[in-house]
Amino acid sequence: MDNKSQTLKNNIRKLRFEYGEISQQELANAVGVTRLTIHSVENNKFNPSVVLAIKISDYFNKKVEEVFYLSDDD
Amino acid sequence: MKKTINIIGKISIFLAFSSIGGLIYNMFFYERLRPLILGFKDITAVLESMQIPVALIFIFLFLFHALTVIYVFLQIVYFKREDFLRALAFFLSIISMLMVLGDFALLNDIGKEHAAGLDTSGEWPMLYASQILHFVFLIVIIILIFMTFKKIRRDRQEVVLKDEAVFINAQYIGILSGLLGIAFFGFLLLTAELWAVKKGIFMVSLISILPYLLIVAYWLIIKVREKRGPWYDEKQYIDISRASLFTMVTSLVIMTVVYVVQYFIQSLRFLEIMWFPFFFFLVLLLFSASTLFFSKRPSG
Repeated sequence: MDNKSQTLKNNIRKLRFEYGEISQQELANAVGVTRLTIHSVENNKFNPSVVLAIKISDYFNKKVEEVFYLSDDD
Repeated sequence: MKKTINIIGKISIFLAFSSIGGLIYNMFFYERLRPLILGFKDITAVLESMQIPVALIFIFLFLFHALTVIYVFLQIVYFKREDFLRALAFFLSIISMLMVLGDFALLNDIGKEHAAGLDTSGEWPMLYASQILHFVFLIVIIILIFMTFKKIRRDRQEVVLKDEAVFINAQYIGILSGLLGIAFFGFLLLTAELWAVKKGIFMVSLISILPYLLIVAYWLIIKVREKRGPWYDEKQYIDISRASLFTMVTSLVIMTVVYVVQYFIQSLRFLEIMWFPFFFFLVLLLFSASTLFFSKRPSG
C-alpha cells in the first residue's frame, strides 16, 4: 500500500449526458439531495457518503466503481 | 404565480417611482420643519400647509412597502435558485416598511418634545438615516423588478424536491440581520444615553431579527411539506457542523476580547446592558456567514 495522496473523482457529468442529458436537479430529486450537493460531488468538491454514492450509481444502473474512482493527486 | 409576479412587478415599478417623489416631498417637509423646531419657533404655518400630503404619503409608502414584501416573497417561492439581490430586497423591504412606522413615531416624538420645549436634535439624524434607508430600498427594488422582467421570460421551471435556495437565501438574510443588529447597537453605544438604549433595545432587536425569523419560518414550512427524509442533506449537515464549530470558537474569542477590554476601560461598560443582543447578533452573523462560506467551498 503506497502513501500517495488520492482524490475521489467521478463520471457523473458524462453519465448525465449519456442518460438523456438529465439536469443536476433531476438527479438530485431522484437521489433525495439538493442540486448544490450534486454540483459539488460532480466537481469533486464534496465526497459523497457511501449511501449517496450507491444511490447515484443505482440511478445510472452502474456499479459504484464505474461511477466513482480514485485518482492520484498531482 | 408567474403572471401574478409580472402584474405586481408592473404595478410596483410605477409605485416605486411615485414613492421617490413622495420621499422627496417628505424630505422637503422635514427640511422646512427642522430649523423651526431646533430654534424653538412656531411650526403651525408649515404644518397647516403640508401635514395632510405628508400623512397621505406615509400611508402610500406603507402600502407600497407591504406590496413589495409580498412581491419579493412570491419571487422567493417561485424562483428555485438562490439570489443575493432578492434576499437583500426581502430584507430591506421589511426593515424599510418598519422604518416607515418608525418615521411616524419619531415625528410624533419630535412634535411632543417641541410642544414641551425639549431639545430634539437627537431624533433628526435617526429620521434622516431612515430616509437614506428608504432610498436604498427603492433603488434595490427597482433593479430587482427590471431584472425579474428579464429573468421570468427565459425561466425554465424545474421540479425541486429538496430545497436549497431558501436555505442559502436564509444565510444571506442572516448575515444582513446580524450586521444590522451589530451596527444598530454600535450606533446606540456611540450616540445614545443609557436610558435611551434601555428604551430602544427590544425594538431595535425585533426590527433587526424580523426578516431572518420570517425566512426561517418559511424554510420550516417547506421542510414540513417536503415530508422527505432529513431536513438537511448530507452536504448541508457537514457545512452547518463546520459553521457551528467555527461560530463557537470565534464567538468565544471575540466575547473574551470584548470582556477584557470593557473590564479595563470603564467607559466601555456597555456589556452590562448590551452583552446579550451583541452576542446574539454576532452569533447569527458568524453562523450565517460561515454556513454560506462552507456551502460554496469544497468540503468532505
